[in-house]
Amino acid sequence: MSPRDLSDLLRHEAEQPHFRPVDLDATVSRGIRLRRRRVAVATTSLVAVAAVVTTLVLGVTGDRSPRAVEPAGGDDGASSSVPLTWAQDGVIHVGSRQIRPAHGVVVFLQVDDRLIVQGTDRKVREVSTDGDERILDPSAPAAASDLHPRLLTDGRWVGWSTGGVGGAVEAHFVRLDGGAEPRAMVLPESPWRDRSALAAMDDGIAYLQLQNGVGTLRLDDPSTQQVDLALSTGRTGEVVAVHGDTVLRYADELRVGTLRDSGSPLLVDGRPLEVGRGVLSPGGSAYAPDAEHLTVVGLDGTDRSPDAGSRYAYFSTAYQWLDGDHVAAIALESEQGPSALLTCGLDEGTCRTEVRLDTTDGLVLPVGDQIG
Amino acid sequence: MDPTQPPPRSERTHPDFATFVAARQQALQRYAYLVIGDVALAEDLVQEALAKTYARWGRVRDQGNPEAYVRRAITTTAISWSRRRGFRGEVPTERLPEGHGHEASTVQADPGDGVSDAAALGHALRRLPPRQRAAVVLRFYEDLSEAQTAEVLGCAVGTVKSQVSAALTRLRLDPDLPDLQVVIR
Repeated sequence: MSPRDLSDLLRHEAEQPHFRPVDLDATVSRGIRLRRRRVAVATTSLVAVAAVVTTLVLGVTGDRSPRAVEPAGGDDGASSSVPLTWAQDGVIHVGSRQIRPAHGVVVFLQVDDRLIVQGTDRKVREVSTDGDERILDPSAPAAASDLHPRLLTDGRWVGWSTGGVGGAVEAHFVRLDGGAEPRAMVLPESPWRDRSALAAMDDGIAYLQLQNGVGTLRLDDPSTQQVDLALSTGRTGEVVAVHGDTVLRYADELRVGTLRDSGSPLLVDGRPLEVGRGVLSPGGSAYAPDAEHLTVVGLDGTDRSPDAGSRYAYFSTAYQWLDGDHVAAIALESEQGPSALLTCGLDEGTCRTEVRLDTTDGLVLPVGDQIG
Repeated sequence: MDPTQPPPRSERTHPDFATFVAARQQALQRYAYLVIGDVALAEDLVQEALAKTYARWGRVRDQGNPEAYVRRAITTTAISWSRRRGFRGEVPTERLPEGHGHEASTVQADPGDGVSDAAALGHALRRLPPRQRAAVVLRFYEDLSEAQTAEVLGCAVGTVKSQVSAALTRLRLDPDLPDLQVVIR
């Protein structure tokens, strides 16, 4: 290559593509919605100031600690009876209790009152709130370091992947109530470079993302050793979540369909969701995408998003369903600023700050996956 | 146009916004493409930035430099999108499920040296962290000063210097760009 100036190269590169014209009507419609939302946020901030003042007064009279719990959005905020769980610097916090697993916390899950932890030794253990630990499947090898660490559950079974360094990738499944023997199987080739094919679990079925469709493995049937392959009609894509017959897939946009039909886009405010991660509600009726601003949408298209509050206008997203009406969310005031864990009620439409964090460094949330 | 139908929404409100978009959309899309590295995402990025601009159009227009506002919105939104795409620790993959990617958006390099070099630079840019990428594009494509770049990025001038320095170091070490020259203006 002959010597070239950086500015010249940038201009060459910028001139290569052909762009579609801007859709002016769609832009204006979106702009009007943003303007309305800004007005709504400004109104909410006044309510939030009043609510914080109320909380401080309650704190002075000893009825409530203003440091531990304060409203994030309007009204008094929504709270759930489920204590928030998170880990930071190797310590798991379950409400006010703290547990320090012997091998640290790379990823972990909270399944009812059980904590399932993958430690730095890549082994998967159940850790009790008393600190007792047991390896879930002693026959399972440690997960390979080149595999993205991930734990999955359907509430009864826990699944994870091992192997991967130049060899076959295995999936391991353990039933938490001990009602069945642990299962293990060699996984088909994954379409991802750094993740196994194990994509989702629901009601005793593991869903595998394959190059040409979705595979299923029935965990409750010990005679099942083969993966059933289901090919989708229409656009395929990555399986995001499953509940019953409903399968959420992502391929440029989130689509709601079935195992064999990729279905139709899930629309929010008339626009398709362009986020490929998120969590499905326990009943499968609503979805909280990993969006930039706290969003919860019914699978019928109903917007059920609570208001995270103007303090967290920079960023907020739901990461866990606490029950059918409450989500846990992580929120940031600015890119480098303080962050918080919130509980948000869909019926109330508000959030409450439960935990304030000085930094998200070393933070692990009970989603079985890492946050970036 | 059917005279019995109302005009499109964009013509009913702020005709000067429509004029601005028509005049500047291609320049904005080219800038967005360099910052985000994907044609389809660049189109979405410009649309989102223009929507944010429209939400404040009266004030933005009165300040006299709407293009600077849009460019700032493109930059901050691109950095935010890049960060959000990695929020769950996702790593870009080379093999995706069928129908997953933006195949139609792929830019084909011409055989000419300049365009091939430019394509190599495009790939190298996409490997930079989003803030470094934006700083390089603002300094060397938009020809902004360090102070102007800092204003767009919402950071200190010193931060711009360190971001650009780190980016240039990485670009110069890129094996696909062995003869890259940089003229600091």
